[in-house]
Amino acid sequence: MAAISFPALLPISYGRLRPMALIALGLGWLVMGLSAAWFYLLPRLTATPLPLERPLNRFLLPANLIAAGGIVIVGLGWGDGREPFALPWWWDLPVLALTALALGPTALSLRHRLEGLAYPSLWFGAAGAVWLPVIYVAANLPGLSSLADALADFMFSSAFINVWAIGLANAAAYYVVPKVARQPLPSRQLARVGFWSLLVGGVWTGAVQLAGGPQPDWLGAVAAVLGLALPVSALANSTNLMLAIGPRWQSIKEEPILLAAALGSAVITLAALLGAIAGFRSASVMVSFTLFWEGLLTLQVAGLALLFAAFAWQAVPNLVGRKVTAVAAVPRRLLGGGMVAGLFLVLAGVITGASWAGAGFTGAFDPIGGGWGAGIGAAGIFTGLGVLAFLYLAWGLLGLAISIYRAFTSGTATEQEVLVVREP
Amino acid sequence: MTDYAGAANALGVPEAILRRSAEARAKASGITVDELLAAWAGGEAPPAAAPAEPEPDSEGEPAPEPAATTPAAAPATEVVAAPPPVEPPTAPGPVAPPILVGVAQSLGGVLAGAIGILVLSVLLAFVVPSLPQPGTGVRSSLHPFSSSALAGKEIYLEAGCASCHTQLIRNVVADARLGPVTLSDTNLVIGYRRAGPDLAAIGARTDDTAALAALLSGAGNHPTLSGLDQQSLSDLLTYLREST
Repeated sequence: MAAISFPALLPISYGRLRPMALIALGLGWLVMGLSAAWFYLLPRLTATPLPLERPLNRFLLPANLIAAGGIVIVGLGWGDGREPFALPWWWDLPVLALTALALGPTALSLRHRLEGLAYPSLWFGAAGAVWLPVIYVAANLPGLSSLADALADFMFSSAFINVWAIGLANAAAYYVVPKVARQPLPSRQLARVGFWSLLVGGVWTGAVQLAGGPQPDWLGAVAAVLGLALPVSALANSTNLMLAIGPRWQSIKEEPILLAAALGSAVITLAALLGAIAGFRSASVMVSFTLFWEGLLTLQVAGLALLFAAFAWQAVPNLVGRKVTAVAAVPRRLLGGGMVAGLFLVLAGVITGASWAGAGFTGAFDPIGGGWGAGIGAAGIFTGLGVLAFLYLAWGLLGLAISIYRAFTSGTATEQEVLVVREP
Repeated sequence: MTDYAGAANALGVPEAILRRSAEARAKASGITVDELLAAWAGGEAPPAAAPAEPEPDSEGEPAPEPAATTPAAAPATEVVAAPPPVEPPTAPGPVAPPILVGVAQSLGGVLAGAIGILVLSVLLAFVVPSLPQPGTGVRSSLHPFSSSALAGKEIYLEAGCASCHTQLIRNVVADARLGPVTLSDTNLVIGYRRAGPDLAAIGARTDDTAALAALLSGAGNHPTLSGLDQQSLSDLLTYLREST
């Protein structure tokens, strides 16, 4: 955001910085963190030891190198320019291995599972493990037309966040919230609605960004209608989780895990609602290609960070036998920074789109070079404010990272979970 | 009064785990906790309650950890103070592990449904809309680029120009002044955001190559494309000029 607001300040252009940031976000944090969450949940939900544990541990360093290498490659200008990650084909192959990381352990765990109950977390995780590598391959097929490239890229970006990342975060939240609140999951039916509607609506916030483009007309209508499933999913899942909190609502301010889970699911619901509204043609032609979608992504990232925090604060002490500390302010920073930055960018996108519609019609701005400034309208101030709010969000993310790190290094002792497994 | 402590001792399972497991399982099976514990203690399946719903509408907490005879290795991490020791479970003999009792729920339907929706989504959102559409024969958006322009297109992609510039003129009022609407056979880079002007028909909108070159060198608040040699810059300008 700083690079786009002040291009002369940074030695690297927004065009390269953006995919670098998306690689760090997507491959560096979400794939690593949410895969960790899934590998934590798998043995607990299937009553089998985690298969392939040793190869997975050995792949940890290469996995980090793949993500870091991608950032360097794009920064050096060797990327292919196709978002979100802009990686060249020869680096897509190791990234494909990274995205397929969960496939083997998931298949083996499900095959040998001893626990008969199929808890909802299993649905989300198993579907995500299948979706991610397939959709990554589909989005990186070589030799496609320009239109196919754009459709594939938007589809992948949408599915990656909505189906895979939010799906796995839901899997973690469905496990953590009933555990911490010591309440049974209120409704399996709601979880079912949340799961299936997530799959149905997951890819469609991509196609709507090409509204008015050269794709067939029916695609916009299909995307708008099926995209409505996304807020249905978010509402079902967040309602279920909040009902599971139950009587703990009265003291939720003192329960950082439950607070983070509740806030995270609420923020993701807000983002899903905005995305569904933007699916309709009258809205989508206005906000297409604007910062509106950056705003939506910011809200989703803040929601994911909150859900991830809830998972990590429950899981890490169980694994290392030490408490997490200094977590009280983190949900507030993640929520405040994410909401303010996200909504300012959404507003900037709406203003930009409205300026294009108005000025393009009246000829009030020259759509080339310096005359473009008028086409951005008054969005600049909101982009700037969004940048400031990003700093607060980053402070929250840093706090989250520190809280996890400190649990490993200096947390006070607590009960450690020892996972014991009976041989079948 | 349910004797959780006694049952936990008999089964060799921590009491807290046993309590949660038994309560959830009893609720799901429609029997009392005492009946369930008695069944477990005898190494038998719990008595079949009223026809159990294979997938109850409400279920207990996530499956607790399975009971075991062999503790798994704990993470090799030092702790400040030793955590409360967990008593190694006493061998419960041939007793069936409590949490393994229950109605097995298949995940086949979930996986089949997830794969089916994935295939449909890819077909509807990507494959079918990408298929060549019959044109009117009146106009085409396919540009016959020179080899220099094609090299410039690669530079356009590698430099990340598509992150800020579209090359897409939509059939909407906002794009009306930019040029002819982009058709599905376009070979321009459609792009992802419009932080800067659309460049679809930039070659037709300006013939001021010097001004374009100046922009690429940092004029007008445009970021400098560092690392480009003269040939690359020339190819990129050719690509833009031929994008008419």
